[in-house]
Amino acid sequence: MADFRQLALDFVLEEDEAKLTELAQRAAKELETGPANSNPVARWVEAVQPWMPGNNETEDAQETPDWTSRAKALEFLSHTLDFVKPDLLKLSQVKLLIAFFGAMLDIDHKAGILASASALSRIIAMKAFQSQSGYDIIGKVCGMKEDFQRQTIKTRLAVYELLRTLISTPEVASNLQQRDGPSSAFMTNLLELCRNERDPDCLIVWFDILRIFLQQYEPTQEVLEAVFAAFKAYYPITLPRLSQSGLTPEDLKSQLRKCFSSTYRLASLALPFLIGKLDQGDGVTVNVKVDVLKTIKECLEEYTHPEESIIPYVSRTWGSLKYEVRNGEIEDAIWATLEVLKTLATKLKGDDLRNYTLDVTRDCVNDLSNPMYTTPAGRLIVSVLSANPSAFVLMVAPTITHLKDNLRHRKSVTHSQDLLKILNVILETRLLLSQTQMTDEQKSDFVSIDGIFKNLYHDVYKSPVALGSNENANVDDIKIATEAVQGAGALVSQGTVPLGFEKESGLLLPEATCSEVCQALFAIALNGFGGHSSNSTSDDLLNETAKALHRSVQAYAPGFRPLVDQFVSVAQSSRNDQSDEAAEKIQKIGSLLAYIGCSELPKSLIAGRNNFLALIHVITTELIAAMNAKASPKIWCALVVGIQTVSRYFNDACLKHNPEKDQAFDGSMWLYRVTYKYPELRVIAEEEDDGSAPSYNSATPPKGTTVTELRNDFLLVALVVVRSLYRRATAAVGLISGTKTPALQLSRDFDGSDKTSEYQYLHLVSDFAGFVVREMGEAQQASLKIDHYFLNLFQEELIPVPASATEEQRKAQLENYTDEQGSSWGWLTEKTVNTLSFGLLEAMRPSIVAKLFDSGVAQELLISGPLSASLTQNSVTRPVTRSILTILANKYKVESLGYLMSKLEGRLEASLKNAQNASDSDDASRYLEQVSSIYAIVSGLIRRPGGTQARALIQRLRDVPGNETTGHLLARRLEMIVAPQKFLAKENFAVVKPLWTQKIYFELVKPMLDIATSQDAEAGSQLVKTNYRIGVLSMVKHMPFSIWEDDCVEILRVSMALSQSLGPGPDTLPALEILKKILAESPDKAQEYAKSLINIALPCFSLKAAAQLTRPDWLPSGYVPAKMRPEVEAECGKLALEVVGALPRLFESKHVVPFVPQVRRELSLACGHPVRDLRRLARMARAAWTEIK
Amino acid sequence: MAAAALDNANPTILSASQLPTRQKRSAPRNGPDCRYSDLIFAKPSYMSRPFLQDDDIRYQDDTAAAVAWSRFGAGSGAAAEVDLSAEPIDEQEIYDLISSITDPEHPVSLGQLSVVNLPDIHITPSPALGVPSPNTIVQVTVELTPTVTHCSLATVLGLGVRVRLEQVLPPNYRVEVICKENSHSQDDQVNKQLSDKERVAAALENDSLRSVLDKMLESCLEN
Repeated sequence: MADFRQLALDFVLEEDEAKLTELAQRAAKELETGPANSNPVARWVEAVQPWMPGNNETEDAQETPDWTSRAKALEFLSHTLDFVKPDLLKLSQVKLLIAFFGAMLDIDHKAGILASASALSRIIAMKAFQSQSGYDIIGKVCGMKEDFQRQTIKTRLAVYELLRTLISTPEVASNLQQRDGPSSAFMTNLLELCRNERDPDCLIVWFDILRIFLQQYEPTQEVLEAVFAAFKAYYPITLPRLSQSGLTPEDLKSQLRKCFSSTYRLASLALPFLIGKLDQGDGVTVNVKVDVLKTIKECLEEYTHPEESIIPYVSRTWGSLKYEVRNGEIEDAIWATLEVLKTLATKLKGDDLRNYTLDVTRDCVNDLSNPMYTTPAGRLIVSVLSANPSAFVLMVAPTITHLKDNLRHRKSVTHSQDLLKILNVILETRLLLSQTQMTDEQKSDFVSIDGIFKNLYHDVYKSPVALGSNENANVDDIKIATEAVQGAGALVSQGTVPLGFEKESGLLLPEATCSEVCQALFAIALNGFGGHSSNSTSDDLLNETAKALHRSVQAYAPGFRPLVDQFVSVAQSSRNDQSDEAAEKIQKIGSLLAYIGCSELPKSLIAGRNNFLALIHVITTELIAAMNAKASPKIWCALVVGIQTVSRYFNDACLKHNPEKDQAFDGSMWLYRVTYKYPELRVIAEEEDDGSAPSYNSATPPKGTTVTELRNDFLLVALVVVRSLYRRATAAVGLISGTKTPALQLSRDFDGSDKTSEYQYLHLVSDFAGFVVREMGEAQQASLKIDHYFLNLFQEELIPVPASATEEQRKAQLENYTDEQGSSWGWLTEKTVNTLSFGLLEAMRPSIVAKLFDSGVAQELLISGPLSASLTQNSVTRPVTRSILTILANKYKVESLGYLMSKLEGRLEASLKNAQNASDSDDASRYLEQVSSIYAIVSGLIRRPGGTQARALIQRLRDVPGNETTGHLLARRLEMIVAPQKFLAKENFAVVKPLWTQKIYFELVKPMLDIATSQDAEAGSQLVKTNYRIGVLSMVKHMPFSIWEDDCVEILRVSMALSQSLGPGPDTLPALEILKKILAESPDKAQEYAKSLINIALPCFSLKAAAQLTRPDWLPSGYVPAKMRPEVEAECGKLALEVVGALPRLFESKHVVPFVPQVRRELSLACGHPVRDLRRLARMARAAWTEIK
Repeated sequence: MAAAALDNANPTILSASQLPTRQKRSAPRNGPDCRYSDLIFAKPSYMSRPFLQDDDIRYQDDTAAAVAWSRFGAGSGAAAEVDLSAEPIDEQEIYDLISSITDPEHPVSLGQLSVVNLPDIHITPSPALGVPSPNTIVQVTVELTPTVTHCSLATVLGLGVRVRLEQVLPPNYRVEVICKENSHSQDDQVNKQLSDKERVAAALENDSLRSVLDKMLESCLEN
């Protein structure tokens, strides 16, 4: 049997919180397990006897009692109770404990309150607790009188918690009401007890007690007023600045607010009080004002019995609050006021609502004619009429009448804008309200005012919208039109409210008006796209017009087709126009139509599909017609951009609905099946047109469709278009003597009249093809056999696709390959059609690319590609060929094909040798191009996991700068290996190993860096070292700093050495870039090189310094291009100025001070540099250097 | 400075967007219908270095096709990049340099107050003749229009403009700042003070004047 006395003693002596809890738990366990006959409860209570007053044998009566120990002893009891099960104590025991702790409240105001309050809180939760005792406890608490205020905050909080628990316990509550009746004497006592409370934590509980009392008890008016007076005194409340509690002012405010809104019976007290606060005018701060407004709003929301509580104060509320909006300046206060006014309207019905809305309307409509008050008046009106459909019905007619009147007699442009804005918001409100739940009566009321809106377009919007399409419109007209188009868009999307048995809501406006609006809006776009003056005002108009059209067409689907027809006529009339403007206009209208019709799927998926089909069909047919009519290639570009834009919008719109993305197609005869389903594609697909009407014009409603089906159809339709454009762009090569294998070339459409646009067109078509194929899943690409289309560019009947071969056959095939004959597939990647094949390859998944290796074609291309990179290719075809080689090497494990790798190595070796021994520079550069193409292969290869297995190749590349004649040229091109490329990104299914940059740094760059920085003469001549420096820097430039951070100082020295020996030029450019990066990332490493940095940088922007520069003797002539291109020169100057300008900020002044005179002089001269952007940088650098003291 | 001391307490202020400037190039419209334009018109990554080598450009006649990448109209690719061709310092550039100086009385710029105006800036030899050599002396004359004819701060304004231009123009540029004819009741006096080198130098030694000037020029930081 445990000794409770010992436990109590331990508890009193213990300080540690964890141990105290443990002791209390032990005591609680003893209470539960102790045998009943030993009366553990009594022994437990008696355990604290030594510390109780009147029972101290040891203490002298006069001696001051030890309050701390006594409090601790009592805490032992209360803390134990925390761990006692609620059903343990018997009724008698509970009574005993209540008496005990109650007595403490009575007699021990110094040590007993906190413990008693916490203990009682536990006891009242016990099963054996009787509700009658609650009354007694409250009585005892009230007995503390003034001593209560002297308690610590913690104690008071415990008492408040106790009180809250008591009065919110239903049994206690009913007992209290029964004993005190409506006079609630206990409350009066409590109010007296707590009237001076100031602590935020306690107040939160106290307010809650008052709220519970007001809500759940039915006090007399007198008590109600007393309680109101008690919490009103705190209003408006705020948190003392130095308050330690974790509360926010908002917590306190909202708790107090709940007191105000607790019962409707407070209305006659609370509302006049709150409104009175507002009427103090400037006496209240914004924060208080917002608080008051929020409180009023909450009261209005919470009060029941509005006829008693709210209605008597409606006009007073309106009368006070309207000025807050009308004359107010603080946006927060205005918003809070509008919320109150709106809430008020939601609480009113019948005549009361009518009177209120009448007041609002009457007071506001006059203000509409005064430009100063138009916006506030509009906000007031809208806040009330948006409350519910009934308020809307009552107010909208007079408001719109006045808006119309005032628009006729507008005072200024802003006035018109404001009025239109109000009207727009009213339309948006109608749209929202028409979708809410309404009773039948509300519905018929709502429908009865439809007439007001039906004429709105002709009465209000028509002429301002027309301003937008007026060629001579001024800025003001455009501003007004910008507002008007938004309203017009909102007007078309208005629906009717279905009455009775109607299920679907129809359009509010007659169809004729809807199409008139669409036409008027489109006219703005047509006019806007024609002009060149682009400024923010007209841009806004065009943007808003686009949105309005989109909205209108979403609501009124038939509005779209006439717009498409207009596009056709614009395009047709531009066929002979060679100007950029014509092409630009077509492109912009195409994009606009794509956004209007295809950027969002309407409720009816079929309508969405029809929009897409109509648009893509029309644009493609127009493109073919334009090519037939020999229109400018610029127009082709504009149209193909339109095709791609339509497809991208529609694809994204489908994707928003989460279709299944990789559902394989039935690949056989896909073309036939698509054109059968959509006959309009037949002409595009060069099939016989049987005259059937386009599917999107079909009168019979088609079956429903799913989003997955819709998107799959989209992919196939887009592929039909791709196929058609590819076939149109290519033609069979005429019979060339000595060749038997078929090949393709660009068709006759490409006559070279405008090479730039022709080339851009090819790229755009190829990009579109890439987009379509990229959107297909792996199974889809496989089922459509995209690899075949890569080989025949959709010319199935001209180019037979080779069958897959065995490994042996492929090897043999490559063995038989000779440079003289070349690959029979060379045309595909090396001639002008390669842009088209590139687009498909870029988007193909690796598993599909692998099929190209199955037939051995890819292997051949990898070998023949580098060879073709000679002078027979031009600057348009060569980069494309290289990109194709890169992709082939990246998407297939070429490193595992030993026979291919050895052939490539042989090719590299031969090219290097030939370049070295070349007789003239043309010859040399031809072989250099071949080496560069092998770089391209390596750049794809090394990004693959396992790509670095191609050691021999990488090893060879490491040595290329070692050659004295060609080393520098080859070193420069090493950049190609690491430079980022879009087609090597994950989106294009490239295979990229996460740490490939690190790997290549250690495999390729680091060994070269060692030679570049070597002091050893055997490592190479100065010239060779310079070559290595070029190689290192051109690769490091593309790597993040973190990768070469450890070698930062070496790279810094390499950069400086290179710039010093070569001077400004293309090789110094990467060096400066790297210097800039080092300065940004780790300036302390460069600090001691300040002099060298300045010496390198000055010649880049100063002619004088450049003139003094002499290149070292060992540098052969022609090493650096004799004439620097202006953009390289400017770029060098720019970087150099940035470097110099940053030095004073980054370095300690002792490192820069010695150079101040020299640098300042050069910078002041640089302020007159011929290039404007450099002057700007020079001025900034000059300011930085001027500040050095 | 106390409000009572203001020479012109209520000047006409233009909004910053109304001032002539070259700094902001008009960006192409970016509406809801332009979502994919940048994507579609992007120049392919292989059409520039390193896949397209400089040497290619040297040898081939198709160069133009490879380098040019049209984006129709205002939004053409070339305009998006910083223009690196040679252009002389012109009146607009001078205007951009001084219009952002803050007025000593009001928290707005001299450009907004129309104290400096583009037509009142003159450069000889004219920038239309091309970039002058560093040895050519170029004369820049700025005529100021004080907000009121009795403006007591006209000299301070002139000094500010002069200091600013001397800080940012190369040494071969000579700066002259004068009050526009009839724009000030004592324009002779003001012009005399502003063109007297010694008086200017002495003024800059004056600490309180210096701090006023520093305050005025604070807003001229380049971006």
